[in-house]
Amino acid sequence: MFKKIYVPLDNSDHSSTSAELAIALAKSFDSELVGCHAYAARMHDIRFRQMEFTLPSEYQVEEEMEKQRNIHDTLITMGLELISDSYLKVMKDRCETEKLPFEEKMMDGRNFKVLVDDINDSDYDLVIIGALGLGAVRDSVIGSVCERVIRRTKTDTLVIKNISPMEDQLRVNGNGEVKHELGNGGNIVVCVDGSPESFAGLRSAISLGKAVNKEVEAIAVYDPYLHYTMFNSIVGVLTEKASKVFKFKEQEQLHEDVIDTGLAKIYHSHLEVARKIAKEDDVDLKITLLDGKAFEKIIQYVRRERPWLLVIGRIGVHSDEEMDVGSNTENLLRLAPCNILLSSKRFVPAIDVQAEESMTWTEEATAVLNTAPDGVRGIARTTIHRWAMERGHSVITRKVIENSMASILPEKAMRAMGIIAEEVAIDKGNLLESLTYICRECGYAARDVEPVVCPICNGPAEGFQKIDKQAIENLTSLEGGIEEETTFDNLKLKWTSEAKQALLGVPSGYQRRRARAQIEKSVRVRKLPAITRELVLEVSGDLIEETKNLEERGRLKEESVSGTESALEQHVIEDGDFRWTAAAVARLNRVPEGFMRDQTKERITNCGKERSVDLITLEIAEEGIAESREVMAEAIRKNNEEESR
Amino acid sequence: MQPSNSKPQWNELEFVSWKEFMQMAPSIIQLEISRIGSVINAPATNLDIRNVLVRARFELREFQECLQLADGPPLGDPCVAHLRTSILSLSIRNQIRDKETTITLDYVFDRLISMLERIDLIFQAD
Repeated sequence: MFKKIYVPLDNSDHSSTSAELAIALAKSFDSELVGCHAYAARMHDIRFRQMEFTLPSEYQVEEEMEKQRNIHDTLITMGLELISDSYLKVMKDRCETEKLPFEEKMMDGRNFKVLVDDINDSDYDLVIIGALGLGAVRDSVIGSVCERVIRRTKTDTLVIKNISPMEDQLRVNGNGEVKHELGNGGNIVVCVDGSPESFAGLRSAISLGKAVNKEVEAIAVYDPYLHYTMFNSIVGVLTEKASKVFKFKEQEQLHEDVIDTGLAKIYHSHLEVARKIAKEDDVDLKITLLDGKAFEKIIQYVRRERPWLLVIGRIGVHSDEEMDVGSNTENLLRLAPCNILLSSKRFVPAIDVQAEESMTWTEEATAVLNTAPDGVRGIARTTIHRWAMERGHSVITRKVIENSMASILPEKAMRAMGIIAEEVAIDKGNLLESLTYICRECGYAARDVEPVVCPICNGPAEGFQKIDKQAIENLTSLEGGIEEETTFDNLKLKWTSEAKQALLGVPSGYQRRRARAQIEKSVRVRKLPAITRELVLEVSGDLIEETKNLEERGRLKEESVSGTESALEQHVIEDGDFRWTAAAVARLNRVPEGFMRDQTKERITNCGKERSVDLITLEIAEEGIAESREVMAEAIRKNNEEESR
Repeated sequence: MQPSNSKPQWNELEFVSWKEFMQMAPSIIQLEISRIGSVINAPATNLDIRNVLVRARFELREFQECLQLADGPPLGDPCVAHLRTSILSLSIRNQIRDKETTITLDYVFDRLISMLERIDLIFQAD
């Protein structure tokens, strides 16, 4: 739990007690200890210069003054280092005796500043610091260094207020030897308010309790009286008319009936969650719920019970995250007569553990959840809890389920899964399907209404690409006419010639079939009138790019299908006994793949053989294709004749 | 009233160190993101289903990003919530009629479920 413990040292009673507790904890947690003393040599230096004019006249001559300055500089630097060394040596020796790893740090600078920098730049799990330093007087409550360090760091900090010998402090509780005026032998009290800091504090308390053999208990305080005080204050200033509008009687009744009882239940549920967390560590946690002003009730409880350690979150459940220390914590830090652990770590209990204590499900909601498939029921339950908790719901109704699921599943699916009732689903089937907007960031598709923000990735409206049917129709006329093709489910889709040509950029076989399916899918989802070259490149552009240089075994390369005609003729591709120009390959690839292309390829190579050349140019390819066409036409004619007979 | 939420018993053999988890999880997530991506662009899915799958992929990417930023176990709930939402979105697979797509999504679903179950069993080795 605490692998590296940091102790600022100044040889005060509080710092010595801090060191003793750090050593005791290090023995349990196998921790590494770091002791640090900060001294302000520069401040002494400046002070000396300011006081130079008070020196006797014999020192106030140039040569003597310079000599005195040098002596003072040396004394201050060396002296402060020696003092620091002595302070650190006490803890170092104790660590050597206990065989604990110890690192000493000596720093020159404004003490709280260098400590804060060191804590923030290091990976300490715990800082143990004395509440008071050497400058403390009888009425001192909390020292400036301690307070400034606490305000400026976010590491768990244990503030030592009890300076009785550690063996007295760590005496086992429950043996009748509790020294009430000091809290020696007392237990550990954790303040729980539902904040992640307070739950993390509870976990630290449980670990500490096990390490030093102390019992742990939790308290929570809710304040039902604040509203009454406010009402009384408002009554005195409101006009009669405003009082009628405000309906004080009803408001007060509402508070009595709902809010006060509700607050008690909320804080009690925090305690129950705390009890479950403790149970996981085999600790039977005593819980106490108090009502009143939080810090006041805690102080009263601490004065009565005299714990050894009070654990509180650095900030409370209602604090902003940028807050340094919460108001209750600040008051307790000053007023509580015992050691205090300020918890900065955060721990959020499992959503379902929190929900079990603070939420109820209506019968109808439970029935709806039970309609979800087995595999996802638990996940759906947690998701609903989380959604409800973030919005402050404490009763899960059918409506809460519908709303929480609406952002994940479409209405049709929810209806099919029984999550929403037929009557609440809005039928959107008849919407005009002339426009589709696709989010460039995540791929979300919206029909007809241009989204202001993407509901999935929160991308802005400008991030949506508008797919306009009219624009596509205009484009198709420029792409060499339209061909209609039938899909696997008998739907007619229109392809422009250029689109079909672009698809040839994908290697034939499995990859091209897959690319074709993706393109068809895309045009159907977007309800586009035709497949254009742009669409093919949008859907399969990456694939074309990735595979254009790959050569399938036994097939010609698909590369170089674009470019100028002369360039295409110059680029040569090896294939068996023949070399092909890229233009010839591109021409061949426009023949439907499979039997027809294979036959055509054979005709072309025969043309090459007839010409006694091994280079197939576009001209030879065209010749072979023309021959193929004639052969096919002849075959079809003969076939028709046979059929007619 | 609370609906029941019976959790399977853990098996100590399934505990996994943070290091091992971080070696395994990112590759699995990346693979499943690719698989969902291929289904998004596959035929036989309508716009609603496409958008749910887009969400599943998006949440998985968010989870992937969270994982990259995490220092060690336990993974925070906001992070795991992305994985849960992704899995929940994949429950749409029951509404898809194309057998091949369903088989792919079933596979992705099972992989993500097994990862979710493992998350509670990650430990930080010294």
